[in-house]
Amino acid sequence: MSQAANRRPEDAIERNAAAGPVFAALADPTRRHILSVLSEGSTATASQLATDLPISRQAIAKHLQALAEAGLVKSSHQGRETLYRLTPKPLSDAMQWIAATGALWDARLERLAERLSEER
Amino acid sequence: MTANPRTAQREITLPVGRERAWTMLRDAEGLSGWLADEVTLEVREGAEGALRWRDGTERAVAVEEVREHRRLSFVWREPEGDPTLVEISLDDVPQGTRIAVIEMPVLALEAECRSLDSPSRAASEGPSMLAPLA
Repeated sequence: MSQAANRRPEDAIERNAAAGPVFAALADPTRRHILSVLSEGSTATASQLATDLPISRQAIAKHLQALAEAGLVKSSHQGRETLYRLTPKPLSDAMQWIAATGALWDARLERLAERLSEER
Repeated sequence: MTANPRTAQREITLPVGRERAWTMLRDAEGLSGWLADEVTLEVREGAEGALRWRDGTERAVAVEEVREHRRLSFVWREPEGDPTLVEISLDDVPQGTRIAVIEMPVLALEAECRSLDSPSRAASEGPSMLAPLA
């Protein structure tokens, strides 16, 4: 019923697989800040991002690497510079997981309420 | 919304006491009919079992924490899926019992723990989802 109505099994698996690594990448506040900066502009270099934050360019580069591994940013090369930009789909898939999971819990809690009120 | 955007959270307040609400969490019989259609599980820390739904879907489940009348947490996953942690807490409120649920991928929870240990975590950071777990 409401379990299957949300999605096909393959979609569920895909979203489930995407959400963990994305949220893990977002657990770090520096990485969240990097993403919010990238979401405002189009591209940025590690140096540009480093001017924004009290940490080294090398540390920024490590965070960007983690974000790239989670599929949240993509890099491209322009001359000697590496430019980073946001790839929004994994983040929106993860948000979708939150919404779908929340809806499943709404349904379960509703059934819990019904069961509790049945037992008199 | 103050909810941690890296978790799914929901709650419901019911006009019953915590002991009564706990009857829906304390064993397979209590859990079946709402958490899943069929529950094969002993509600005991470390116990493993299975949940099945009428549409044929199922999940493997492992019980993490059992605090009578207070909290039940477990890790579950779909056959090919990543494990997520579910924590169900019961709290007294004037209108009865608030039943609050948080669900989070285990991978993400581990990263949150590492982030809390890391010196880069600002003191001004907002409340973490782990606070209710304490």
